[in-house]
Amino acid sequence: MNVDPDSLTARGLTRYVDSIAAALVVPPHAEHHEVSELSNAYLALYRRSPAFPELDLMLLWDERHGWSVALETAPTEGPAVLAYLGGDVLAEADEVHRFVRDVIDGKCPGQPDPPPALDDEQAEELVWRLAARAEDGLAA
Amino acid sequence: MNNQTSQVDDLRLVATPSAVNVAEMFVRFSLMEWSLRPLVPQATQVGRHMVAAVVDNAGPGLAGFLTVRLRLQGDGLVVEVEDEQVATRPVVSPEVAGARIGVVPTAYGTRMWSELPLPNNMNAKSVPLPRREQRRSPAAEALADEPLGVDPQVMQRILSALGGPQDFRT
Repeated sequence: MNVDPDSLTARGLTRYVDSIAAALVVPPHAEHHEVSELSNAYLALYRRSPAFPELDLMLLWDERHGWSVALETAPTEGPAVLAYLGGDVLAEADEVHRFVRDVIDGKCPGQPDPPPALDDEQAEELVWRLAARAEDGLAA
Repeated sequence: MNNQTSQVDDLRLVATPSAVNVAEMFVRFSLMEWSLRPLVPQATQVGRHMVAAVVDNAGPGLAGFLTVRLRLQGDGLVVEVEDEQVATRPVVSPEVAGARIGVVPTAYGTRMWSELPLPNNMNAKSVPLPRREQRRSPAAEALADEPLGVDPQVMQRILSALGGPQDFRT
């Protein structure tokens, strides 16, 4: 996503990720996001899956595939994604909240493989959708 | 040959497509705890195949349960997946990643299994017991070190959440 870090789109992404963090009660210092070629977000979760009691969980987002829940592992151990949410890359907070809860509860929600990446038209639409979120925030 | 099981770990899952990933991670991290990293690639392939067969057998909207089990026995690692659906039987390949897969009926459904030889002439009794250690992410460490109440914004969010969404920090 080639946009200015001060653009409406970038501010919209901040607003969107903040809304997800708020729904999951993730404090600001446990959240990180960036606007870049592949914009992404990271939220550290403070509940663990009973199936993996020794490992932290993280909620990840990127502009191509949307949300996923993964185990925190050493960088050399490769990706450890438990599930991708799929569907809309800008899923609403209650849907993401439900997804995380179901992963932790062992219900194996979502899908095992990354959803197809957005095509050019969808990627362009995402830029505008995020900008609209920032404008909603300005109006509020 | 000694077929006594010396270590076992298992995980029961809802038989949805994402169970394939969760089962893979379970196999991967269990074997790493048992210091059997060389078996991870083959065991995860075998486990994924068997769990995917159960998920396919479940069909959409009919997810039952499955159990993934790892057993150290004799000079091998046994990877087992139990399908708790009685009505139909999962379809698996007879061999995956060079490992043979057996299928037997049980009173509760079907059990698939595969025995992989332990590396370097090891036997089950020589596999070290897992050393369980708490691992925290840098972000989690930061939060753990930070006394609650310092950041009023965080406190406000937590207080707000008490009457709203579930608190994921508990």
